[in-house]
Amino acid sequence: MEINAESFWLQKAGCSAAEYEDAFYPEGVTRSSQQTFRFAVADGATDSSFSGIWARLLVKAFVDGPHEPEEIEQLLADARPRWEQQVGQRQLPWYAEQKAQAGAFSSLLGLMIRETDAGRSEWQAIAVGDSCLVQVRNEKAIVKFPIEHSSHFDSMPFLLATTSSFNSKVRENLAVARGDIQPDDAMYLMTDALACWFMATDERGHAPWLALRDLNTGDQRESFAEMIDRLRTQHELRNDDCTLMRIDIF
Amino acid sequence: MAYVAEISRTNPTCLLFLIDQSGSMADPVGGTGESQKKKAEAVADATNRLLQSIVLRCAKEEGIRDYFHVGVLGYGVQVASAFGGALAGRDLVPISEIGNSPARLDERTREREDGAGGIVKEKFRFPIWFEPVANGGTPMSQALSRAREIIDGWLRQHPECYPPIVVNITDGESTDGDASGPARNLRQLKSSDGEVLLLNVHMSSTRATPIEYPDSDAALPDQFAKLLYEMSSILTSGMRAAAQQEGINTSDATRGFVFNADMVSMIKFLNIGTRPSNLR
Repeated sequence: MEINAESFWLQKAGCSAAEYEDAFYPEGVTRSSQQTFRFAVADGATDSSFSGIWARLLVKAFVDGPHEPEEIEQLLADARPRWEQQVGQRQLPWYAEQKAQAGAFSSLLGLMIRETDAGRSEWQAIAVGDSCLVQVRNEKAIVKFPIEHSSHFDSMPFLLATTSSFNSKVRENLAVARGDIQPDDAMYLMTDALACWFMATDERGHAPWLALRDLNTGDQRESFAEMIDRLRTQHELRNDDCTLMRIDIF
Repeated sequence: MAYVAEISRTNPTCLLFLIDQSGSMADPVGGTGESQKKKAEAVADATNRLLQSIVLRCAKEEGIRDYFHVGVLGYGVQVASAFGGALAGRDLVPISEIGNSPARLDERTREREDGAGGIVKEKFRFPIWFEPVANGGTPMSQALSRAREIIDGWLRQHPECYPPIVVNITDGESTDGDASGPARNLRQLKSSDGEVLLLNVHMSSTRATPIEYPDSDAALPDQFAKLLYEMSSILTSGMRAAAQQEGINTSDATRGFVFNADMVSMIKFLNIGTRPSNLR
């Protein structure tokens, strides 16, 4: 199984790049052949502070460490002390101190692709929150996970927290999915605003992947940032941080 | 569609609190099983907590983002800005300045679950901007008229903002005539995104069960409560959705009115981004 993966991101309009609170890992994979690949995207909640740090720790934890659904508590236990260490070293004014005490929140979508013994390939994904995976095969979105329709996005998802008491219901809120992989499939990992646009476009009978699969190729008409700007201006895309990982299978 | 404008630093909105500081606010709060806390103390405490929660909603690691400009008008002996210290005399102040200029910081302790079945005590610094005041009459009509002037000025500069929100906290007995007219005039102001929202918090000495966000005046205990209910805006669909998620039942007639109840929850209704459902 050969894979090429590329990532694209743009911060919310009106925010600086330093205020981007999504995360993705790894940055990309250049046409490579391996037994197993792992990818993750995460979306730190606007309402909490230090959530960008938390999102970045979560995607690394999934890719480099515990990644099975039953290991979710271990993943959190690995990432949490790192967040506390990074945040705890700072001198904070009263409001930032209270926000730090309240903890940070983030979604997490992790994807594993592996070759099985029979020479076939399969994928497994875990998700908490509203970052989404879409699998496209033969010009059709055959899997949408964990959210399946653009009308199902709301602004209050259950998210992974740095404060363990807020994670007590993580098992009930952890979604798991599996499927097979075939050559020429494409997997799109997206944070919520872009995923919502993707699904709404698909529901209208247009193929959103046509615009995404040419990014960074000779066929590209506009860059990711130009495309996102245009969609925001046309009110087709909610103004939020946007992240895309496009994984092409050969 | 109204009430859908994004609240952002490039398109901020304003919140204006009207605080009853009349002599009757020295009376104790009614309600169930409360200690003999004076209404003025309860209002000062509620205002400090409201401001604190707005600051926290806008605070990020790099500082406080100016999603809101906030004013506090006191009404009693006079109708005037109730800010003290560095903010004295100002009408609408960016929330970052408010967060960085409390009159003082109190050290308080709170309990928090430690996630392993136990409770930990943690110290935190609580900001104080307002002290209790109870003096003079209740010029509510004048306060609402002054609010109209301030909001009108804001809307001229921010014609496309999410509609300003005015929160009036009172014990309900206006001494300068029927406040319904000035309230209506205030509610009729609008941005391109909708009319100004007027919410009322009635802090009564009447011993009656607290009421949150009613959709009729049938259960309200007195004429002052009914008048304030009539003056209150109907909740927007976004506020209703947020209220539902806080466990408050609403209908399309639900108004922004609470009787002897907490309004800090109202701040959670203002959507400025993703809010985790597991953070309460």
